[in-house]
Formats: sequence, C-alpha cells, structure tokens
Amino acid sequence: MQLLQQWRDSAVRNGVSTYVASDNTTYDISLTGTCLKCHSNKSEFCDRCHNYTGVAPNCWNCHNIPPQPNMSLRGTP
Amino acid sequence: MNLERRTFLKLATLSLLALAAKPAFDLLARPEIARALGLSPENRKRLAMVVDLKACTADTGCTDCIAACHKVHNVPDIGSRKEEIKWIREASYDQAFPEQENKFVKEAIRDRNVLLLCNHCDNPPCVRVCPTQATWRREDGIVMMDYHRCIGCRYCMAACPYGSRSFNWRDPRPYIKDIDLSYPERTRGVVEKCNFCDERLAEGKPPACVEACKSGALTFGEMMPGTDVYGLVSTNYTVRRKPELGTQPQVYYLV
Repeated sequence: MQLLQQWRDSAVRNGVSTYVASDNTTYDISLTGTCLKCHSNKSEFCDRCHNYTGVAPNCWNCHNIPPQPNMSLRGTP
Repeated sequence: MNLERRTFLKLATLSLLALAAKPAFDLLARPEIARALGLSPENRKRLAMVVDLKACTADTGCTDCIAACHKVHNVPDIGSRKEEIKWIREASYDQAFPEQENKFVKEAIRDRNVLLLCNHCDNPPCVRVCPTQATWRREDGIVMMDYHRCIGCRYCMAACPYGSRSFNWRDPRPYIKDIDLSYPERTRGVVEKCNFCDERLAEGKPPACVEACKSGALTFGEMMPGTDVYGLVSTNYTVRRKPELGTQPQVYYLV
C-alpha cells in the first residue's frame, strides 16, 4: 500500500510515470496495467487481506479491474 | 534633523548597497538577459491550443473530437443536462463569447458553434480556491486534477468562469457505454475536467481531440517561438474567452 501511494503521488502529482527499481528495472506506474498484470487475481492479491482486516479501500471505485483469470481452473480461495 | 551616529551609518550603508544593486536589477530587466537566464515568460514551457473556427466543421454535425475525448477518458453520458459531465463541448458563439459587444459580427462567425474546453489558465481561479490542492497548475501550464484528493466541495466549479468543470452527482460507471480499461473512471462526489490529455502527452501522443479532428481545426503545442501554435497566434487575430478577467486562458480561437 505504501508503494502504491508513492506511485500514485509520483504519477499524479509529480508527473513521473516510470518507476526505477533498485536493480534498475523500470516499471510503468499503472495500477491496472502494471500491478495487476503480475498479481492478476484481485480477489487473492487485494481482497484477501482487506477482508481479513476489515478495510475497504476505494481504489476500484475509479480504477479498472482487468479481466480476471478463470477461477475454476485456479480453484477459488 | 537629529540623527545618531549609529543610525546615520546604517542609512548610509543601506543607500550604498542599494546603489550597488541597481545595475544588477537593470541588467535582469533587459529582455535578452532575462531570456538567456530562463527568467522570461517566453522561455517557459507552456502548452496551449488553437481552435480555428473557420476550419472547424462543428456546424455540420461533426463531433469527432468530443467523441474521441469522451471515449478515451471514460466520460459518462448521463442523459440529463443537469448532471451532464463535459470535458469538451460545443456552444453557440454568443454563449462562448458573451462579452463580445459588437452585435454585427461577421455572420459566418456569429452563427458558428464554438468548441469549449478547459482553458488551462495561467492564473487559474479554480486552483486558488481548492481547499485540498486537488487541482493545481503544472510547470508546463496544465491545470491538473487529483481525484484522490478531491473532496467534492465544488468551490472550483463556482470559481471557474468558463464552466469547464463537472461534478459527479452519481456513480458514473453505469453510464459509460464502452469502458476503456487503460484509463480510470471517476467516482461519485468528485469534480472532473479536461486535462489536455496529460496521460497521452506522457506517451508522446497528441491530445485525443487534436488527433481525431479531420479538418485540422485544432492545433496543440508549446507556446514558444518556432512552434505551430506560436506561429498561428502571432500571425493571426485570435480571441480568447473572457480575457478581461485576467485568468490568461491558453485556448486561442482563430476567427
């Protein structure tokens, strides 16, 4: 979440839309495009902890959820 | 006059300093020096748009730019004037330039529809009133919105003299026909407006409206000597909306 907030401030407030990691890999700052490309299952990556801790961040009120992988193949959590 | 020695010395030193500093100020005031040091307003990177009303085919029912903008930014079509969300829109000449006192403008111009969008003012009143700094003016002149910070107080809408801002009275998602996954939507309770396509500029693309315009009526770029927009504005007669307010709008209309 801290990283997400740093990315948000960097892209929105400072207009820097590329993140350079410590190993010099560059990432496009995009929640829908970059974060959820690897962590492609929102219900496992986001919702699991948020449900457990009882918090409801409002990211997805605006940001789009990319098409989810077929849950039947992966087994529902 | 009764001056103490100490006061006299203070005054004398200050006067000498002021005299010594004057040539430096004079030097900076010279335009060529200011330009070389990057202090001149001409030297700043400043994005602007020129709308050529003679070339624009809005009268024939063309809404290419509006459709393109609203498509890439997921602007909802709520279907009621009261809750309308508009980033770029058309209005009659009278509505666009209400301060034009000349009743007998050229008919060709007077009867035209005019494209209206956020003017990305140099002196934006919306930025001044925003209590959370959710809207601010970027170095390159784009007046940006941070929807994360917007609390929906609508001060900016009251302050904007151009009606460029719209408020989301309800969740816009059900009203977006074809959602573009690469750009977020907005949520209930935030204000939104044109952002000069800053997300496309970051990728090196022109704004969506400029790209969509087939008649070449829209020109976009930096307002610097040598650029297209500068060329158009410096060689033609242009008007801006409500210039008397001192907001320095950066959308120029060729009439």
